[in-house]
Amino acid sequence: MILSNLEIQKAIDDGRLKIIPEPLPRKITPDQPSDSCPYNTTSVDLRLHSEIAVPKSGKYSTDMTQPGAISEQITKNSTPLTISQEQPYKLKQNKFIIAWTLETVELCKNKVNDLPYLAARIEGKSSNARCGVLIHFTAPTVHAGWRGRLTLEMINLSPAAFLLTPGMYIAQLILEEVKGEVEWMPSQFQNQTTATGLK
Amino acid sequence: MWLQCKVLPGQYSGECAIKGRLFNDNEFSLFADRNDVVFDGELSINNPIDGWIKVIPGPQKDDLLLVSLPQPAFENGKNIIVRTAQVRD
Repeated sequence: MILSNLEIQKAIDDGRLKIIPEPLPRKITPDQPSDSCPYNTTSVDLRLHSEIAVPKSGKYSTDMTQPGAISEQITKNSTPLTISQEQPYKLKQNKFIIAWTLETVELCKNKVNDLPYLAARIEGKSSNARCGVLIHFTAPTVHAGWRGRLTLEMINLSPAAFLLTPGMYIAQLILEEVKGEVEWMPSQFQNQTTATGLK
Repeated sequence: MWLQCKVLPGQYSGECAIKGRLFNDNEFSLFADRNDVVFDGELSINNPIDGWIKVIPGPQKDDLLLVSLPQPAFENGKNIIVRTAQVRD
């Protein structure tokens, strides 16, 4: 079941969902005017972080036949960049980059009021899609228990360049309730913190 | 609980690239939030430094221990088997 905007806000209030910094305002009214509201009826928008990583050209992005961990190879084969309002990144046609959401998302492992766990999917925004920009491909799932920034795999399919500026709304997060229990670890070992305490 | 690992810079400032060894000396690697990693020194892409990554311990048999990583490893998933000598409280 997909959460509505009000249910997303309730999940934040309950502590089942943490989005830091919290997307605000929760709604726009004449009493509380604002340029925009990050909530749609069934999603909340997330913004672009100032750091991006640009893959280098080369023979392979990862090579399992060579020594070196995948994370090490990916890092070595990309160049970190920091963008700003004054120096946005021009995402050219067919250019692929890695980016992150400004917000950190946590789908809590702890049960709150016996409510279901939450999972999520990150999706693009239609306005950016109309410009030919994909913000993820093949990996939209945010699993229950996740904590961290969300990685965006971005590519521009348009013949025109797309300017990336930090803080721009780049993605939307759709929250779903998980049916049933989740096996984090064998239950008899939950809450144990030392190897010696295990049987 | 903390698991021995090697630490490199991640793709952005809030993360680290981690690599380590399973119980059978095969390698695992992942990107982890910096808050889940401790290390001394300056991170360098060409010179991995010793560090520790936060894990949740699972069942143990003899000196083999199941641990849960903060994020799934690229090669192995979220839960891996290591030796107890590789972890500390």
